[in-house]
Order: sequence, then structure tokens, then C-alpha cells
Amino acid sequence: MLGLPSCRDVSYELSREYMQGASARRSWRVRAHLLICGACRRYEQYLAWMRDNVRRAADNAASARLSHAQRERIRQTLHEQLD
Amino acid sequence: MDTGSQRRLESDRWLDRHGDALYRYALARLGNSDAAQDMVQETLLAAWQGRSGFKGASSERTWLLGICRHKVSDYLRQSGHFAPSTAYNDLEMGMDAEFFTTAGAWRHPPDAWTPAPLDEIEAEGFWNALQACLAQLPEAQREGFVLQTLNGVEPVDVSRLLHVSMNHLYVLLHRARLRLRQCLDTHWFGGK
Repeated sequence: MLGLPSCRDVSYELSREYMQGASARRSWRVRAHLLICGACRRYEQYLAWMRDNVRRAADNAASARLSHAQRERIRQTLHEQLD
Repeated sequence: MDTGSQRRLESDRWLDRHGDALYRYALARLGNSDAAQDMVQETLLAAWQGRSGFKGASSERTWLLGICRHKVSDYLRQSGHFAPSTAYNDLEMGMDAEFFTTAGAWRHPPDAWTPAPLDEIEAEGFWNALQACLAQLPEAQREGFVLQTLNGVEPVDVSRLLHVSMNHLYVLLHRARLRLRQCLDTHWFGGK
């Protein structure tokens, strides 16, 4: 693609960028690839959506958290063991 | 000398601040809520016994997750399941061919979709889909994703916990995200 990086390379760079957060810098070659590649732009949307929503789901889904009963059971056991 | 109430206070604080993160980590590795609950309990007990070893080089949560990781590995070993060694070595050579052509183009380009934030009602459904998809990942990829993306552990701390280099971690997480996208396309995004 005009000497630009492939989708394989760009998807890796995007993944790394999303992990590095604000400190990440995007090269002009990746920018240029994204301008002409809808598939990689959609992949970037997916990465951003996952970054913004995975933890939100974990915070809001009841089955992703200790239930009140589980938490109290653990608390009780810890108190007994630590006394 | 610690009094009983001091001990209770500290363990309560850990449970309230980090209990859910420890539970999610253990649940993702064990797939069993009761066993995950036991791991949280054992982790906090072990943390109390070894609290003098916490020097603050990493965050309290990272330290507790490190203890939980050992507890889960011990549990898996004792129950006859595979437990990863301290160093992962599953770079899955050749996996790229599953997702990209030899020229580096997508084999199955991401579908067009309109991203919208999850609302509270959708959270449970998405969480269940994510759990099912995480269960299909190789162990190292699942563990890296749960620590970094789900529990917000800094990448440098994840690399220390997993005993892998940063570059290795980038590759693990990149592959985890590729696999999750494929799975979630079927089990979540595609069905919406």
C-alpha cells in the first residue's frame, strides 16, 4: 500500500498505542495508513470502545463483583483468622 | 504490636478496595465463582502474614494481585490442572496467518459498526460475552488482558508479574485483542 505499513503492522501499533496511553506517539506512516484504510479505522474504534467499556462493564455487572454475601463471608473468615 | 481491631481494619480496607479486582482476576482464570471467592480470602490472609514484604515498589493492588496469582497457580496445580510456569513462552508463532494474509491485509476485516457506550442494562450481557471469549484465549493472553485492561494494572507491573519483557507483553495483548474482537463480533457486536 504505497510503501505504507500493512494492516498487520498498523493493528499492532494501535494496540501498543492504546496500552501506552497518553505517552504514545503515532507515526505519520500509521496516520497515512489510517486515512486510506477503513478496516484499520474500524479496528481502532474497537480498541477505543474496549478501553472505555470493559472496566465499565466490570464495575456495573453484578456477576463481575463479589456479592454482598460473599464479601461478608470473607470478612467474617478474615476476622476469625486474624484474631 | 498489632491489635485485633487494627488487623480487622486493615483486612477490611483491602477487601473493600481490592476485593472485586482480585475476584475478577481469579474468576477469569478459574471460571468458578466459589473458587474465586476462596482465592480472594486466601490472598488477603497471605497478604496479612507477608505484609512486611510489601515495600511499596508497586501499588498495593499490584502486590495483592501478585499474591493472588500464586494462590491461583497453586490451586490449579493441586487440582491437577495446567498451571503456567513463571515464564510464558507462547508467542504463538504463525498466529498472524490466522488474521492476516501474507501481504499483511486483514483476512476478515472488522465489520462496520456504530460504537455506543455500554449502559448499565447491557453491562451484564457484555460481561458474560467477554467471560466466554476470555475463556477461549491462551492462558498468558487471558491473564495479561485481565490484569492490564480489566484491572488497570500498569503495563510495566503486568510485565513484572508475568515475568515477560514489555515487548512480549505488547505481543500477548495485541493477540488477545485480535482474538477477542473475532469472538465478540459473533457473541456481542454482531448480535446488537
